[in-house]
Amino acid sequence: MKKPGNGSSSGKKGNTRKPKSTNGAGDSSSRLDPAIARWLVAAVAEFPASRSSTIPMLQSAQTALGYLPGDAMRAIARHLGVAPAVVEGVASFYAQFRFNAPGKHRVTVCSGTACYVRGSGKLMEDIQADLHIAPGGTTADGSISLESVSCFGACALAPVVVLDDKVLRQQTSASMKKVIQELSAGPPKGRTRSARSAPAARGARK
Amino acid sequence: MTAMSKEELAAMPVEFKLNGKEVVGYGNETIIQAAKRYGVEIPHLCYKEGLRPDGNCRACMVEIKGERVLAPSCCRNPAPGMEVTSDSARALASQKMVLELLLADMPEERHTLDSELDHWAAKLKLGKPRFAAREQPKADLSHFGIAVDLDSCIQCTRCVRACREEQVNDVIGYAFRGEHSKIVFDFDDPMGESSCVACGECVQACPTGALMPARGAGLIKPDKQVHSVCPFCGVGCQLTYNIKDNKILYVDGRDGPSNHGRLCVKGRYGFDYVNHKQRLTKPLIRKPGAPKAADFTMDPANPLEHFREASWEEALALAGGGLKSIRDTRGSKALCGFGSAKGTSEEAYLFQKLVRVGFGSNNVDHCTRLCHASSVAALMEGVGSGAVSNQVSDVMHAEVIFLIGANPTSNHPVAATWIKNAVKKGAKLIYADPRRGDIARHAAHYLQFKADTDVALLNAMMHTIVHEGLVDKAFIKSRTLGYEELRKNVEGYSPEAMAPVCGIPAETIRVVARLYAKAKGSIILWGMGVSQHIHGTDNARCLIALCMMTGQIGRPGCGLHPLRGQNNVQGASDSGLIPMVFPDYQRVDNAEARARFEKLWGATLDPKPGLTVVEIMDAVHEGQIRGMYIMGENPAMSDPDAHHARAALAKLEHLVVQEIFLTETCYYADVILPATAWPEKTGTVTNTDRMVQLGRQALDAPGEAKPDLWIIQEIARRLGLDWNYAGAKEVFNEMRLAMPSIAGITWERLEQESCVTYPCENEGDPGQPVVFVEKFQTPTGRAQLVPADVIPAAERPDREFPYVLITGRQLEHWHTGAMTRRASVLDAIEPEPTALVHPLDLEAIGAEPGDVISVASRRGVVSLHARADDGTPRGAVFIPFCYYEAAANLLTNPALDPVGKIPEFKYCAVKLMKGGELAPRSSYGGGQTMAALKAG
Repeated sequence: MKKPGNGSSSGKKGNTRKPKSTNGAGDSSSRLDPAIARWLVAAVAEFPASRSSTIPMLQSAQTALGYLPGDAMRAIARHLGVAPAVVEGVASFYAQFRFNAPGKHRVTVCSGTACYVRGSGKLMEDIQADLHIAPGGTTADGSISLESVSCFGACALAPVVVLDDKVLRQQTSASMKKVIQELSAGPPKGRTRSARSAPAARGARK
Repeated sequence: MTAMSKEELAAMPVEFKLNGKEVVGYGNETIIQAAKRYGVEIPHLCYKEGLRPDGNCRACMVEIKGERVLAPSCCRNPAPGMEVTSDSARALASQKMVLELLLADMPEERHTLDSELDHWAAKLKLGKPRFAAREQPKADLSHFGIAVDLDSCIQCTRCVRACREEQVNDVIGYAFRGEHSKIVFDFDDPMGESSCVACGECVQACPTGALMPARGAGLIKPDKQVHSVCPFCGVGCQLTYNIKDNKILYVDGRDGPSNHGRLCVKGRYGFDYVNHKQRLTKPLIRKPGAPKAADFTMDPANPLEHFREASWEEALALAGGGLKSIRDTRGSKALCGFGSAKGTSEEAYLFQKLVRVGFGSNNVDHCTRLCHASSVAALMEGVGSGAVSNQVSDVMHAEVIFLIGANPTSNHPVAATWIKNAVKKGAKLIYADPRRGDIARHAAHYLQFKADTDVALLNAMMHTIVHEGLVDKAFIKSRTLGYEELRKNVEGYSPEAMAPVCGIPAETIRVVARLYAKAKGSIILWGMGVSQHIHGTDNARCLIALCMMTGQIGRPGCGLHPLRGQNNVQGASDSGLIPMVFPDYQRVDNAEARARFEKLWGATLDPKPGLTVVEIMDAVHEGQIRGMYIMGENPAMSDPDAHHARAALAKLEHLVVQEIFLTETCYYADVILPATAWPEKTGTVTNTDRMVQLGRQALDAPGEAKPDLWIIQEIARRLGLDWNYAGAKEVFNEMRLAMPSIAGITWERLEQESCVTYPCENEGDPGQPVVFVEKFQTPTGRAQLVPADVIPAAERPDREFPYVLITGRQLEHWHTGAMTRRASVLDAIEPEPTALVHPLDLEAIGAEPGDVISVASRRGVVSLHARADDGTPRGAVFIPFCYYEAAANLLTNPALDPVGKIPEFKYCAVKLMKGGELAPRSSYGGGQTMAALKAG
């Protein structure tokens, strides 16, 4: 049933959800999340309104926002003048795009051949059970995202888990349980210094 | 000899071999199409005639001699000397493997009775598949009209192509990767929450039942199929009813000339109103003492509160007797009749004949007065014919499409698909409308001009065309009159001077004027945004002048097309349901025409044109008109200043209403005669393209409801006329004698072909899709150009009433909602009245989307939910007029165009206020029918 608050001149449903001004940053951008609005204003200026901008614009949104929020995808469809389903089709095809806000930390389990024969399959199952999430998911408290990668290229260290940008060698279910416990408790000093947290840390020292 | 075009070369015959036999194909067809013609069946799933071949399912693989790999026959064109085999062991093995793999994924219980996959699997004698099934996705039953069961989906993308390439609604996509790939709606939303407009084209395209009519309608085997025409808008889509036990199970689009199998949400899901429990099934007579007053309301579910049931004999005696006694005591002019553009042309013809012969005056009109009367007036004056010059499908041949004052994606959805298809093919769309409809997405130039400034914009375009020498001098000289006056008049309308008036930059006006004038073919389509103004005739005059001065008429791919609103407004008008003309627009004050009709009808006819819809209501108030016979119209909802109209209806001494539901107009009736709905009768309707199409009876009428033709004749008898028409065919045959434009159309041909375009003056004529090729139908044979000056709306916004009210229709609802608000799916999608307001205007009155707001004019006030819509311009509010609970026409201004007598539905001054009290819910609408269905 159509909600009274949504809709448009044409009867198409949900058009406040899917604004349709031709100028990209239309009247409804004022109701967007400020971070998305900031990105959108810059992106509309940067990317020409043609279908070929789909992937670059998705990448730009993910770089700026950490993932692809629905509002950003809608704005992309609107700016490029393509069907929302086309943007969805492209974004969902590539593994590089994520649709949920990433956790503070990213745990990536290698599922490549060498790691797999050294037990990464079981390792992944146990981590999932510990975190109560599936690969691609983020814990409810937003602390950890879990991902899998086909080969990290560090086969000699198998099974490998990458925590943010730090490679953890020859992991076991027990060792990972400990890592996860520490992560959930808060970042112990020096352990998880990642590329993302480094500038902030430097800034703090100044 | 001229060089052959690419298309001509591609269409040349090609000799090749198919399964060892010599066959002739064409270079522009595929192997599978050629094979079909020769009776060779090749399995196929992702291929469907009419959709672009995609070649993704690989079920149609064939072997081509000399080629290393098999080829998909749906994507390959035959080449001379090619040797194709579709039944070799290798080809068959491949075809079978594809089918077996797909079959393995099918659910135990199918969602359709005729899965194409099962059909081919049986043909190729496939047994139980050897492969494991996939993990099955869950059903999505979020939509009221369509069930999504992706467990049956084979990813053939026929739905994607139907949605995106055929209907161009751009909702369905193909997403995710590998084994997870699937079709999605928008951002993988549930279908019911997506931007789906429920045209159902995807359902029609789906080969396996993954997309089906909701609630298992497709799992019941129909008793019969009946071919007919859609009863909603003027596009005139042909369709097929699938019927079981006197109920329509579901509807399929049929390959008619105006729709080629396409339908919209109304035509596909809007039919169960005929089974609604509020259908009138017995004649009703008003109880003594039932009050008659403008604000009198009653419950359509409970007619016996104020009416009593009567026999047909008693009801007809009262209905006819009342009319007769007013005629005999007060004179002919004290009676009038409103016919309907929703009935058949035969009913319209007989109805106007009844008024003219039986009542004895020309006081007969219908809702054409409220939609395109001004366009027709301008066209009659300019080109001598009120109908379109070119058909909608001509947009496919146009270079430029100029669409003004129309919202076809809502009001003529299938016509809109042709426009969108034309744009995809390369045509340029210029779209001018104060409200941005969805089709703006496809426009090369969208002009959101200020409401009410059509003449300023169009004159400025003509100014540019004159000044830049873009006029067609030869055409003006040989085919038109009055160019000099027009030229002088537009002198005062430079784009610079008009830019601030209409709100469109001068340069944009110039650009679109050049585009229009220079194109090889430019077609103008317009809707009620042009006609429903007190200067509606002037607006249309400007469009006609624009077209004539550039010679954009008389060929395919150009011309003038007022998009007609109702399914039979063209036919009803042609049949003479107009106070100033007899059938075929022969003026009543023309002695020659009158003599012809007096001879045909054997009666003396009134030489004075009758009163129009709004004038009739005024005449009732003045006491001139005392009795009225209404067939299928609902003036209590559709007339401007509805309170005034309702007061008039209440004041009548005698009101007879012939209806299928107890409409708001019936509240004031003395006698109500239960009539038949569209699928319950046979007759012709004429669409916006001048196509006369045959609607065939598919259902039996409920209870004692009677065919309208029968009722009209019974009334006629009681007025002393001895009419004995056996049915629609006999009436139609008389119409052929009265109307030269359809004289050549035989009933038998209609039965055979379902559709014939007029003019068709002699039997066997093919009909003329394009008219005015050599001359116009004016007495001089030339087009008359009429200059127009800017006239402001009758009621402009001021400090007290600062907003402009625009009224119109919604995609899901039809006219006053009597039918569509009782159709389960349509009502469920749009259950209640809403006002569309720009989000910033909503903010300005301190309201949020979804809040209740009140809209008041000098004539009335309504309260309803606000919907944020950035397609509505600032300073305006749009309210659909189909909701009794918040009837937009309580607010509208009855000021009339002086020529077309059309009221100004598109412009009056209102104020907006946050808050207000919603009217109590009616016994229909509000999603109640669907709720009852779901509850079983």
